[in-house]
Amino acid sequence: MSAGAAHGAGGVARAASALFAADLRRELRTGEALVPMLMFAMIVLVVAGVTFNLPEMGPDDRRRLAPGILWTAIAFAMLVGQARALLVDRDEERWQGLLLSPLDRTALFAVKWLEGLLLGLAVELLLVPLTVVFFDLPPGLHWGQLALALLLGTGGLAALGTLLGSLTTSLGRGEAMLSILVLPVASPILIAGSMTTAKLLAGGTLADASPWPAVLLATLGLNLALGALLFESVLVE
Amino acid sequence: MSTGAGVALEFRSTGRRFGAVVALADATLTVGAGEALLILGPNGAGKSTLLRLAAGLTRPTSGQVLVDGIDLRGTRAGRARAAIGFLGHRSFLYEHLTAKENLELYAHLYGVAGDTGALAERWLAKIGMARVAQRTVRGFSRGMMQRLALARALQHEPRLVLLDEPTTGLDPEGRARLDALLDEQRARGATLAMISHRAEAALPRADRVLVLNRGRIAALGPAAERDAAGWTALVAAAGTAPGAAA
Repeated sequence: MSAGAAHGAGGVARAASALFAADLRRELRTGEALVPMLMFAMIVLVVAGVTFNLPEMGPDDRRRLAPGILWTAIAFAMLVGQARALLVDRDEERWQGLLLSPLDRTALFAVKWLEGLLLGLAVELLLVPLTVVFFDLPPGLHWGQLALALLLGTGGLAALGTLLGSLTTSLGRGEAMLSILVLPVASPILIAGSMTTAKLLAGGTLADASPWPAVLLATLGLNLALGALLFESVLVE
Repeated sequence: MSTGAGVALEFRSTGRRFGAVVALADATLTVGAGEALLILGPNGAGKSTLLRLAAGLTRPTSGQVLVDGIDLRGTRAGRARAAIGFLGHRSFLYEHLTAKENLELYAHLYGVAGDTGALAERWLAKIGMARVAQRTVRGFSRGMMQRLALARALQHEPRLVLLDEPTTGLDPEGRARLDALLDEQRARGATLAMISHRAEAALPRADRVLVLNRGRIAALGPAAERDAAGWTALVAAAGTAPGAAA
């Protein structure tokens, strides 16, 4: 058995996989992030449905309203989930254990981003069909293109949540600070996501929604690049 | 006095402030490879800050900290972190993973080659916890957590071992196992820096003693210079000096 060493490329992948598997196992055993995310997303959907009196609305109005509600629910659910996961990391000081380790910081960012992305997608797996039912949307959508738009937007939100969540964790601040930091910066994603989804719900394609899908892609790339570049500097107290 | 050839840990005019509070002021110190340094001081002296700086968990606000000659803020910091085993006030363990899963995870994080499952089992036996290998950490007592955290910190055979009050929560059997592990670390040539409030128990393993007071080095000398009572008296005097931290 050899002593610990700085990782080679294979070692980084093994370490990152082990961390991802450990976090996944914890989430499956506790549901500490996913359960509040699902609850929050459902509440947003139900409250919106009741407040806007959906049965009284015409199909065009419902279709116009749905994208904004959907992306609001996604954004807030992700905020709740990522803040919760990082808060538990901090409270149990697992976060410090990770910072102590020689694991490459970009790899650590990638693992935490992937976890945030998967949590978001898991919520959407339930949220999107429910939105279709609640808002009585036409089933003949370009589902693959909608999935791609959701993937791009959720990836961008997860990157922001990972970077800024780590910053607030290192500063010893909680969810309130994370909301203040994330929501303004997430606005381009939410707007682009809503505009793209609106076009898709109207029976259009991603090409019809131009330039908003490109904005989603650009914000994802930008947020990932910023995360990879800045993650190290936001970590240590 | 260094007992090895190189310098394992070096503080170069290192300072750390938390707002207006000076936790460590302009500390310059070298710890030789294979040396054992005992760190003493009253509460609030800056002992834990010193150790966290050495582990790279806290950034200095001035000066540098080097491990094996590598700046912990530099681009090669990962290589230096791989050489460190740190036990602080908290366990850094995943409460919802089992004891064995925790050790395996940290072995992977530290790039340990080989069968991490077998390594975890060996360490669990070493700390007397083989029977609870498959139990989640959540229900463990303070002492069990401390033992497991010790294994977590040492299993990758770090060259620099940093221990902050390692006897906390340990029963007599746990303390005996800790003593055996410390002897083992010394025998394999690891460098030790350890904070303890129990000078009489820790002194026999120390080459030098560092006394901190109010973030400054109050004394640094060979452990044999004084007996335990002498070092304890020095710490007490530092703690009651005018303006000393409560």
